[in-house]
Amino acid sequence: MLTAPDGAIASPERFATVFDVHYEEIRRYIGRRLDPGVAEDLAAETFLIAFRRRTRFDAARGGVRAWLYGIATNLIGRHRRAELRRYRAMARTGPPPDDSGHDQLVADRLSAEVTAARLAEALAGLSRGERDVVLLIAYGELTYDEVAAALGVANGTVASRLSRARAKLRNALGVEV
Amino acid sequence: MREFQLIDEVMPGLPPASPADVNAVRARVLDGGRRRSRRPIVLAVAAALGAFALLLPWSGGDQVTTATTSGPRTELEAAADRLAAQPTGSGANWLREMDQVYVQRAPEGGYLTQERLRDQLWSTEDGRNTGVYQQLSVKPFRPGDAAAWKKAGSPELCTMDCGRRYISKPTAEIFELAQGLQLPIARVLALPTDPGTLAEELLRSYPSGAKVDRDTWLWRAGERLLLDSPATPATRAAVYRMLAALPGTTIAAGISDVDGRPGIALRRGAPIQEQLVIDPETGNLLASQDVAVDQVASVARMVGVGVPYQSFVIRRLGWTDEPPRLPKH
Repeated sequence: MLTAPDGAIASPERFATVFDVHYEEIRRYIGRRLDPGVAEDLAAETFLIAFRRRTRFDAARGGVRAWLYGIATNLIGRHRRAELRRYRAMARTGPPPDDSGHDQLVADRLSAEVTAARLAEALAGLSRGERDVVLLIAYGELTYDEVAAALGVANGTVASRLSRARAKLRNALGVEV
Repeated sequence: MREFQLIDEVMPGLPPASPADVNAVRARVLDGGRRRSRRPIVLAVAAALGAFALLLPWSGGDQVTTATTSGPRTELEAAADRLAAQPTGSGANWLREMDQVYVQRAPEGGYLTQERLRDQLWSTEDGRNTGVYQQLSVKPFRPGDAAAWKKAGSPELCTMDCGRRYISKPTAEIFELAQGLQLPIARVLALPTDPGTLAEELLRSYPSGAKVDRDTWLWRAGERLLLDSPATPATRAAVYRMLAALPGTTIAAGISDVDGRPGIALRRGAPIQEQLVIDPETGNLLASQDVAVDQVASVARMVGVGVPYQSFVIRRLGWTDEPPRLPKH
């Protein structure tokens, strides 16, 4: 995976590199949690905020990616109801028809039928903090340390949210995900 | 299977953004595509002291040009003529290779470092632009800085795996020159070769909500045309003349780039001055660099007046049949 340099933040030139390397993944992360139509706006907002705060970026507290994911996650938090609405709609009707048939893919891989509809329902059952941790790991592939840095919480908080989330997901889906 | 990979695989994805959309957002985020802007503290100081600063004598203005028949302006004209006479060149791909060189204060400790970052822009046969970045070195700036660095235990200075290459996602062959000015390659190559006509054509894209005045906008667009676009030699020569004619631009001989190559400079701005350093022999652009010309600039207290603290040093620029070493799309 490409990552932008941590030293890339302070100068505007190198912030351009950060944008080039990370924009698409941040847009994708937001678009998968919220309506795809707002992904671009919120991703742009994420980078505008990051650009304004770039001199305050502290490489010692997680890398650039974690920092960007943290900003994006905060913005998503403002749209929490929209995210839940999306999951509930998906739970009723399944993923939008233009999606490339992820459901089939899954059933092949697991004995249990974990569909997008069931997953959406399970994700809606998590608290906001639990969902942030789970989806930063699932979509962003952040490590636990990076999740803690992104959300500005202690490692212990990440661990306890994770264990609660795992239990809830297991109960809802009948399998470990 | 990594943790929660199933969620990643099962939940709906997102179609990739179109290059045009990404470019639009990029321009918005990076303020009109200008890759270099002043540090906020410099701007604040300049704003606070603006009226006062205007009254201060130029610190670096020993060879300010006047409308005479000899001197820096004549040299610039001759260099522009030589550039305009150069062939456009040929090749499947266009490459601009430059080094971004920055002087900055080390995060801890009172010494300065100089960082060098190789920055390639490829515009390739398949109609894409791709950036390749590589941190080449970070070292103490001056002997005194080296001593302070050693005293601090010689900490590792590279921040991004020195030598590792970072490659941007390819975008369409559209060149962002200024806020509101994004030209596809065909239009860049067809830009006028007369400075007045060129300015007119560019200014047609000056946006109504522009964040900067028309002269500043034109300067930025010109700089980007020189640094980041495959504009023809004749157009590039017209850019020099267009920028030289802007109110506030001065021309000076005897300005060197950070690699010690001497040239003629187009200069603009205070207390931070932007300099475009031109090789008098060939007319090629050697570098774009920023220096403090006044003590009111905080960078002047860091590196001193007249010392470039951030610069782009051009190494190669032109068409080539050399294939880029890029990952497959």
